[in-house]
Amino acid sequence: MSVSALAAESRSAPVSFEGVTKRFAGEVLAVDHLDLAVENGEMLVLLGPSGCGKTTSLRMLAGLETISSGTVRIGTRVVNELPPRSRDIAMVFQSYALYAHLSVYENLAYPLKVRKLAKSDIARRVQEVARVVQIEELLKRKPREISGGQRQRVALGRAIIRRPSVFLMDEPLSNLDAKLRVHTRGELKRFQRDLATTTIYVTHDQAEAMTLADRVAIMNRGLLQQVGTPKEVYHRPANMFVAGFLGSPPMNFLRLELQRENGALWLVGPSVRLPLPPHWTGRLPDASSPTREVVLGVRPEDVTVSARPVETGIAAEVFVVEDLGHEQLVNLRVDGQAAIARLEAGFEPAFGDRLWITFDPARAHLFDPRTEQHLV
Amino acid sequence: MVGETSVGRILKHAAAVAAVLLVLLPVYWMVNMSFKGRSEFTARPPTLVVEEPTTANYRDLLVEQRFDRYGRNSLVVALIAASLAVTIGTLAAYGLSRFRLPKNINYHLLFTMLTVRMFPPIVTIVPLFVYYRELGLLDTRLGLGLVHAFTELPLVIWMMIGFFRDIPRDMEEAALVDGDNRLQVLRKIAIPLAAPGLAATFILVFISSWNEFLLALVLTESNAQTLPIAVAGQITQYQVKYGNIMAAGVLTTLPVLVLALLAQRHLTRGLAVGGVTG
Amino acid sequence: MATEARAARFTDEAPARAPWWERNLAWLLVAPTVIMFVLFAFIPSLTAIRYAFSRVRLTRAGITQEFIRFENFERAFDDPIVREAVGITLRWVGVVTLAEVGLGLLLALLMTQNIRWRALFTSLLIIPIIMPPVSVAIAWFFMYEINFGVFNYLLGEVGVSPVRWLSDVDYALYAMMAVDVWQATPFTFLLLYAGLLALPRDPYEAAAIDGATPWQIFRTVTLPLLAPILLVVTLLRVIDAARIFDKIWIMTQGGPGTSAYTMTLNIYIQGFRNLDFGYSSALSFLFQIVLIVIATVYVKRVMADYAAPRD
Repeated sequence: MSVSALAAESRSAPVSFEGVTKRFAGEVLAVDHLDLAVENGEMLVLLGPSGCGKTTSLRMLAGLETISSGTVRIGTRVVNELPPRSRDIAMVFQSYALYAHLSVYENLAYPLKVRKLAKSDIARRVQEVARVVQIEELLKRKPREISGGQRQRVALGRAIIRRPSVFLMDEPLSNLDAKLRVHTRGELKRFQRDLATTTIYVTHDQAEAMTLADRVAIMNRGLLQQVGTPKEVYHRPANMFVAGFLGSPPMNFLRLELQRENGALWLVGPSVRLPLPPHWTGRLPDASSPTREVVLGVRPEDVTVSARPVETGIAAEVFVVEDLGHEQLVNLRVDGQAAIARLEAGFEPAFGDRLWITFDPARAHLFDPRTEQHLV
Repeated sequence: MVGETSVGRILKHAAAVAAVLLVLLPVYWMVNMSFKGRSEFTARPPTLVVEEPTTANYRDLLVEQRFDRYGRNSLVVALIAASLAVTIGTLAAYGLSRFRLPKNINYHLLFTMLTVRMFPPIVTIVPLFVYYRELGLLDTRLGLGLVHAFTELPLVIWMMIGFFRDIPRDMEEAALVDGDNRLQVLRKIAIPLAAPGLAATFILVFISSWNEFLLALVLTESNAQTLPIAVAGQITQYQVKYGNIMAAGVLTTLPVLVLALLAQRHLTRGLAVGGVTG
Repeated sequence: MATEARAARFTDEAPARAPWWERNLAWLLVAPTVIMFVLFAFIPSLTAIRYAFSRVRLTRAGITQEFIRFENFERAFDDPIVREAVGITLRWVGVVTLAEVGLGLLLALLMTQNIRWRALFTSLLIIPIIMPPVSVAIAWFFMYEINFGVFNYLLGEVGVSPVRWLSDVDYALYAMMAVDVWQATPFTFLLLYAGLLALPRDPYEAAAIDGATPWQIFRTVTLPLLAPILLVVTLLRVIDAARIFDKIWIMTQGGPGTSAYTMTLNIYIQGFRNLDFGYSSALSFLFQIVLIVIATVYVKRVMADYAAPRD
């Protein structure tokens, strides 16, 4: 049976979180009024640092945590009160959670046995799935006898075997070593496509999120920061957190002052005086004061440096140069603030050199220092 | 070990051997005496190794006095106690380790049970005796088994909580997602994985019940009399049958030793809470 | 294919919520234990308290009970036997605990040294703990026998006249203490040994480098680190020692005279020999109060360790 035939059996359903909140006994809100609509068949990645609420949200969807307030729907059904088994979901755990006392075959068969499928049907399905995830030779072994990567595939197989409406994945790759992780990442993406089933995937690794997701939902401290396609959140971050979380090395932030002078805008700092493109003027919120503090955001890969002074550039001093072989990361200091530029090999600045930074304004962002919201 | 003199080493080994000998000698002596006929038993000086071994004591006990009757009683009582305690205790242990009851009841329940465990049975034997008399449970194996089960309940709960803690939570969560209800998870995942611990706990309760004296003394008379009471009974009679008593002592000890061997590994954990039996 | 359809229906037709017994499973799981506790601890305790304030007589049908308020307690405070029993119990608990913990510690320290066959020794050392106290008591009873007991024989070999171990008012109690020490020291050994094994290595290595003598190391490193476990073990032994009954009962029944009359024996005899349930209950009530204090301290300690994060 081919993977595409699997897709034909898909019973995929959309998922929605409506004002979902989770409060643990007397503590801070783990999840704060989450509003999120996951489209049917899409791979949505919940991304964020540890403690941001992504895993809690996933577990509420699974039915492993109670919902303090709000509504969770699978399809049109409200599932708040349903136990996990009635929600038609399947989950891959970070530790795989394979049944240690059962063989691989029995692990795969478990969900089907519970549903009282006929033995022959179970056997057939197990063989199918084993072939799809490539663990056919392992069926008789116990979990402790197989490798981490193999266990991960068994966990995946156990999730697939039921054709649920929704797949839940809680950092399934984080226990794999780096090389295997990258390889499995690609396979997972392909899988999800072929299975054509709504998948909610939790991770703290932004590279993983960017490569796997149809859309990314970034969370911090229980609050949803932004939802969008990887391109959207990368190039048009809603706030400083999202901007700083995505991308490696992270976006550069420089605190500067925005000044109006004769109808033109300038970015000003102790050693900076940058004119801004005129069409930005319209996009800024009302400037009753002639000056305001802003944060300039530019990604390291969007920065160009030159040894010769540039008028529309920012003066900077080289702090450290990290040579990675195929590229160089130049750590710079601008008026005491740090910045990183990503350069191709070849240009080799020395410690203490003075350089001038330039960038394309179209790739630059301005943030309000207090609210951290995106301005332009 | 660096800096250890050979004299030091010899001394230490000697001390260890001495300790083990001290421990084993009375046991050896007990076995030794059990095979002595009456005359050799009371011989002066006592023979260090029995010279005329005889199984007369054992034969007398088992055939004439039908000591096996007491053995059966002890067995039934211990089985009742162990089965009941392990069943009830395991259920409670699972509940206390996987669920958080409101208002910190988990903690209070455990605290109360452990504290009660620390009281000697002596404080409640009088009312128990009266109640049992009224209920017709006096001198019954079921009655004694029930009390023993209660006595060992805290031990079971304590141990099983420890064993359940060792089972990763997400294995049970996976089963919940796969389709089990919470009882099925207990039956199909938790208990199979905690099985060795269950067995060890069962054995420990069995041993405790088998060895128990005071409650058996008060709550049984002739029908349900257990081995320890029967053995003690031999000594307070007018005619003390020396060899018989020792044989009885050995017989009472044997099953327990065998079982202890089986549960060896988990013994420490259980003893820490259970204390010395009796 | 029918079964496939059935599988699909499993979810489609699933009930809206988990059944009530599943939602309240925790309570149901704990319920039998609570019931046992009420039946065998709570109710009897209340009854015992009631008896303590009454005169209770055993009749053919059941019991008669009349409240006599504090009479039993007054009697207890005046009773010279009770006072003696308290003293005997204190002596018993004190000596036995000291001996068991001390010897156990010595043994544990010894076993952490590099001894060959250590595993075998440790296994053998456990034997006394699980032996039925009955068997232990009668074995020692005969070893103590004046005429043909092994101890007097050995003493005779070195020219000492036979000792009336169990029939001399001055010796009997201590002779029986030895039996208990023999049986329970392996227990303290076990716990202290486990405790010593769990101690961190670093302080020892630092002390060795600093040039400390074994005694200094013991005093400044081992003892402080072991203190919590020592406390727990000591408390546990105190509680257990207070319980003593069967060994004394079997060997001398509290004699000779009343030299081995512990509180437990006293309570038992008043209750089941003299059949004075009221008085017996009053005595056990007093006994219980003392034990509660010690038990609470112990349990608090143990639960603190239990709740502490695992390393």
